[in-house]
Amino acid sequence: MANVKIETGRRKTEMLCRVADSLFWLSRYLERSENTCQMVEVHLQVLLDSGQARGITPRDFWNPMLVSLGDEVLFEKLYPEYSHQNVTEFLTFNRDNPSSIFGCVFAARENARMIRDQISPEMFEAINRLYLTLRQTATYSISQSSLYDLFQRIREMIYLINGIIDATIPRMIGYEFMRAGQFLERADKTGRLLDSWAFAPMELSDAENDSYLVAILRSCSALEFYQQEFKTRIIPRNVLQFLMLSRVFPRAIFFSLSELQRAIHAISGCPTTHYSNEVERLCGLLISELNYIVLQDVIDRGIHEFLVTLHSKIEKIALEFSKQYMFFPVVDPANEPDED
Amino acid sequence: MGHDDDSSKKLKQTQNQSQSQSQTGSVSSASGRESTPGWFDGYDVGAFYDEMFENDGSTRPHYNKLRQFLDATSREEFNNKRASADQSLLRQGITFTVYNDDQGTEKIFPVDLIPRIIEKSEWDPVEKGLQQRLYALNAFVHDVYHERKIIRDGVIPGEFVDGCKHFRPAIAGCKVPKDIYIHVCGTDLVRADGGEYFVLEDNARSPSGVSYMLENRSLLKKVFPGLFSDYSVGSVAGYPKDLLEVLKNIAPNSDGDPVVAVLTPGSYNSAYFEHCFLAREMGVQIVEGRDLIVEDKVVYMRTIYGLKKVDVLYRRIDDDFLDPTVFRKDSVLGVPGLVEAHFSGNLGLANGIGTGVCDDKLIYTFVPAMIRYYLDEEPILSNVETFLASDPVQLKYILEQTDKLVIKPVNESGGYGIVIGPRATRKELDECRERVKADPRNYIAQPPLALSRHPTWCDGSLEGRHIDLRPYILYGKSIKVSRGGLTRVALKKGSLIVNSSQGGGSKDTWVVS
Repeated sequence: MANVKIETGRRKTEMLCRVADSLFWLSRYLERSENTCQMVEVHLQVLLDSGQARGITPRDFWNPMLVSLGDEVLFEKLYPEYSHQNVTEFLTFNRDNPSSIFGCVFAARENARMIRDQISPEMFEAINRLYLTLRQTATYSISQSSLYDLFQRIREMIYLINGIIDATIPRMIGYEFMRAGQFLERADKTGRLLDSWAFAPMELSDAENDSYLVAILRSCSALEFYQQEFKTRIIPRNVLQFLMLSRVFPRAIFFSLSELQRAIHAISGCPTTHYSNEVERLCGLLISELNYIVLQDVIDRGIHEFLVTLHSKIEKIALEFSKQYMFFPVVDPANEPDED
Repeated sequence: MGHDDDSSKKLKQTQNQSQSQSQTGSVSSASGRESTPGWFDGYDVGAFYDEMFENDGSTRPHYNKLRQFLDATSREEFNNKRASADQSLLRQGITFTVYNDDQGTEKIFPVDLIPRIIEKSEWDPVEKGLQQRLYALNAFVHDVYHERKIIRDGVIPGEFVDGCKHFRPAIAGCKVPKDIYIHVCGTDLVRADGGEYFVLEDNARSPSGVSYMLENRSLLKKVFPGLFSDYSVGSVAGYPKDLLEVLKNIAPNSDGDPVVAVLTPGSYNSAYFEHCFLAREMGVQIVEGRDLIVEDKVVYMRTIYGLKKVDVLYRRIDDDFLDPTVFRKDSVLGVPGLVEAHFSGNLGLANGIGTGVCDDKLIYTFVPAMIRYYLDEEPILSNVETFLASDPVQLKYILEQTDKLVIKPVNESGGYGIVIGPRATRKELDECRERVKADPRNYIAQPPLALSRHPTWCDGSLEGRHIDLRPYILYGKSIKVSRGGLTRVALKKGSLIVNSSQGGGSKDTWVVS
């Protein structure tokens, strides 16, 4: 008889919408804290290489980056003036800035705390340890050189957390919500990092251009693999090719979107050749666009314009994802309009 | 620290070990050996019942093995274990939240590593007494919301019941599954001068702390594995499974596998860690009000694939916040329609609504009478002697003797609002008298209890600290009492307040046979 039910593939586990939401945001915040580390590292590097020598004002230097992060209104509310110290403090330790590294780690931990029955104790402890480390450090001001050490430690602790997730979380729905959050955030933030270069606050000489791109590649741990692939010096076109369109490099936008797609289809059980909801449709559409795009077209149309559009498409995917599974409107503090 | 230190310490250990095996264990015995101070040199038993030592300083027999074990453990070793235990609690986030405190709101609940040990022969009557007490309390809750026989028969004045802060007239006449209201009860016990156990109060709403009982045990097993093989310690590990059985017992339909969930006010609640802990140990979902929705008098939780029916809720939210359509309208924690679903027979709820009448300290004074009334038995466990401000004669006594009594508001928990007469200033006493005079129904007074003490780690040495005991009692197909419970200890010297929010800590509690 045909009514013998055979369980195929992944079991449909029940999961509360709120739990799914927390898993998704937990990993988004973790990824975001790492990306903020990257962003600050790159900018401090560029500042050392060229900014200071050229006598560019701190405001002109940092403002475009804060605009691209959507944080400039909050910054100007909290600080009397732009200075390297103020901006780094704002992005690293400031507790009133939800997308500072501290803010992200705090939010990641709050989400982890809310669902600690759903994640492994090792995972919670690693996140908690990261939080305790930052809370201790954040209480006193810190020199620029030890700032690099701190970023290094934060990133290592985040790699540890990701390793623990890999090693201890069952490959079920909860895992996929975390992967979705992680790669959605990563695709977005690699885009913004590239945009900070494309929309750089100053005319860059060739040498400066190179050192900017090297800083970006290094912050993505991509320098060595870039050189392996292209065997040339740093050329903007190749850097874009690599960080936007690589199918194999884990921080590349295309790679990240593919992982996102894999995760959201694992949640619904629908094969990637089809789509079963709006979030899958939008994600598939964006992937095929990147899949068949010609880089020269992007350059002709303007890299900045392209990256801005990409960002809004990714945001739309996030919105549809929340509508589909969480029934809660997306409230991303980093994108909240500022109120007085 | 040099090598010399270390070797002398080793020497000391072996000496102590051989010494303690050959003697009966008088507290001051080691004091003659100036070079190797023992753990209990100069330990002051004081004018209190000490759990570990007799008045003459000899070790109570069931503590002998612990004594030997400690004598063989160096202070340094002990201190390292203690520090690593604290670290591991903080790292694991085993914390509670202190209200009215910003940022550093999470504190660990300090665990004192010296276990409290109770002999099974001593525990058995306590267990029976607690069962008896819960049968009577449950019968009382049922009665006050139905026939109110105990009032009609003149055992308890009706106005005392109706005047309880947590009395819920709205549920009068409503039926609950199997007539069980108090599924989980935490009854606080103290021991006084002679070592007799007294009931200090009953917590019939949502007693907390059971997760610490379980965590303390697993911590001690890690820290002192050897000690467990010396003793035969009654296990407490079955609690989550027993609780799950209690919850399944009140599922609306007995067929199939009911869906059980823990309802929490959320991650900002002081006991959130415990809510998660219990959900995880039972293997059930933990839900907040916003995860639930009521349709056609059935409760559902919102999952990523749609709505799923919930059969039983173990709720850790107060009555007031449970359902804005019945109780507080401003509650955002609750679920509109939940109470109706419950009383329509579609949802089991533990604990039941309205059990807070038992937590009222005025009602407490009537529990022995309840036991006689409902069960026709003599109470096995006694109450602490209590004076009622609502009785004019006793009120007069309370007002005259305020400085010698402990004055308690009847409906507060967590140790809030208590005035300890002998330690209060004149101004505090005057204010207290005014409050009592203005609202006698809401105050009781008790003579200060000489709570028993237990050796406790205090900054490098062991000193006696006051303790109490909260066993957890589950009411399912039968009534089950935890073996032992959570021993709370007042870490501040001389303090009698054991509550975690006010500088209390806890101990693992062993019932040994």
